[in-house]
Amino acid sequence: MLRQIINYRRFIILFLTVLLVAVLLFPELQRRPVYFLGRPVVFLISGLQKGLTWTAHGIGGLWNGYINLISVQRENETLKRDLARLQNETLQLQEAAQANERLEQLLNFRRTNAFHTLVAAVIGRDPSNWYRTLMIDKGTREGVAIDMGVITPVGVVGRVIKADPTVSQVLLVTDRNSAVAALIQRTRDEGLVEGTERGLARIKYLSLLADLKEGDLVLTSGLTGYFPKGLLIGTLGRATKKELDLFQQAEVIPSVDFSKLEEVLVVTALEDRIPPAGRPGSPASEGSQNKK
Amino acid sequence: MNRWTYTLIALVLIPVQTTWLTAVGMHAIRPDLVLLLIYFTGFYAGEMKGLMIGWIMGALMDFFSGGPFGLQIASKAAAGLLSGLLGRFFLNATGALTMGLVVLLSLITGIIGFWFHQLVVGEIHFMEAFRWTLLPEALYNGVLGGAVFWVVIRRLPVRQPWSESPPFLPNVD
Repeated sequence: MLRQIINYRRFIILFLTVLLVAVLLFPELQRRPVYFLGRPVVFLISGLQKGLTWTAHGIGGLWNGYINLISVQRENETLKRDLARLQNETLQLQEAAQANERLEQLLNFRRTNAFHTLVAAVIGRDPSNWYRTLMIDKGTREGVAIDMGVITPVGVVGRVIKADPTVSQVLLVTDRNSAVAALIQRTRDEGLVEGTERGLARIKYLSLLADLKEGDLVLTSGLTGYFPKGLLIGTLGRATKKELDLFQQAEVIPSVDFSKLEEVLVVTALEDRIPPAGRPGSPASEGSQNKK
Repeated sequence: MNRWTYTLIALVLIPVQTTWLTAVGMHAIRPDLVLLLIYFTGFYAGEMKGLMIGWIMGALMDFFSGGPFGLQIASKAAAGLLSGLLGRFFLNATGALTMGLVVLLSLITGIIGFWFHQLVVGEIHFMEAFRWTLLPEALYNGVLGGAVFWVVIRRLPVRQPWSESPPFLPNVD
């Protein structure tokens, strides 16, 4: 009996040893018993863990989401204020950059042209729809006078019709009361550019023999007012020629978009009208406001 | 409204008309806020107040306009007087009626302005002016007038002072 037990013990020891070796040699076998034994334990404990975690999250959420919101609200308000301020600063910077670009164009235009100009900002438009005028922030104090031409690097804007000490009013070329002596660049035919009811312009008194084509450039002829010769007014549109008329006329599409004007140049003097003391380069002109 | 409110509105309205309204212009035609102020004043406060505010606002507009001085005074004073008379005929205006009356008033004052301009400056084709300036402006004013009525006037406790006993109706006693 005892021998049998000893034999069994030997057998059991042998079996356990083989099993141990097998488990050690094949790690894959370790997982199965652990898995089978651990599954209910893990299930039970993980359930508790989940419960505790959910409770902790719930309490934390309650605290953070409701009770502790005072600081978050304050933080949110501060962030909103900061965001609004930054957005405003960004807009201001963009606006400044655009203004800088426009002013640079104006300065380049002034440098490359012989006539004297004065930079002015557009501050308003005509209150009625009967007239097409602009109000600019320069007046007689700065040297602006009635009938001075107003231009941009893109083309002709109009002429000054009222000049107060600090502001002036500019009649646009598209106003029906405006008239500017002009010529067609390609054919050299001369005419008069007037405004129309539609806010466009037309060139009148063109010779019946003039060979007009759509897209021809219309320039100032330099015969009237303070407009130097050769400034762009616009491009030629549809021409109308009637049999019994003495002249022909054509639409002119202005080169300037008057609805988006922000800065303009007032032509204060043409080169040949500048007194010697005021000529560029002369000592008197160094401090002049008209030319930099 | 008292005189200070009128002064404040007058001081604000002209700069708004000459600056911000450009953004809502269609084919260079903008609504006439001054005309709306004159219309509502005349319609709800009587022709004398309408005439007075029309005269003052017209003069202010003339200072800022490129036209001959007096054109806006004439047309806006006429608008004030007319809107006051319209107010005596139409009681308890609705939004649609306001739109129609503003269009009518705008057209009439536009024609007065055209006639005045023709007299002083001359050489405008009526049909062109009507098609490209008068009519679009009148329609624009009408739409805005209706909107102002719906949004502002309807909610205010404004009442025509003569609405209890309209003077132009025959006495039935």
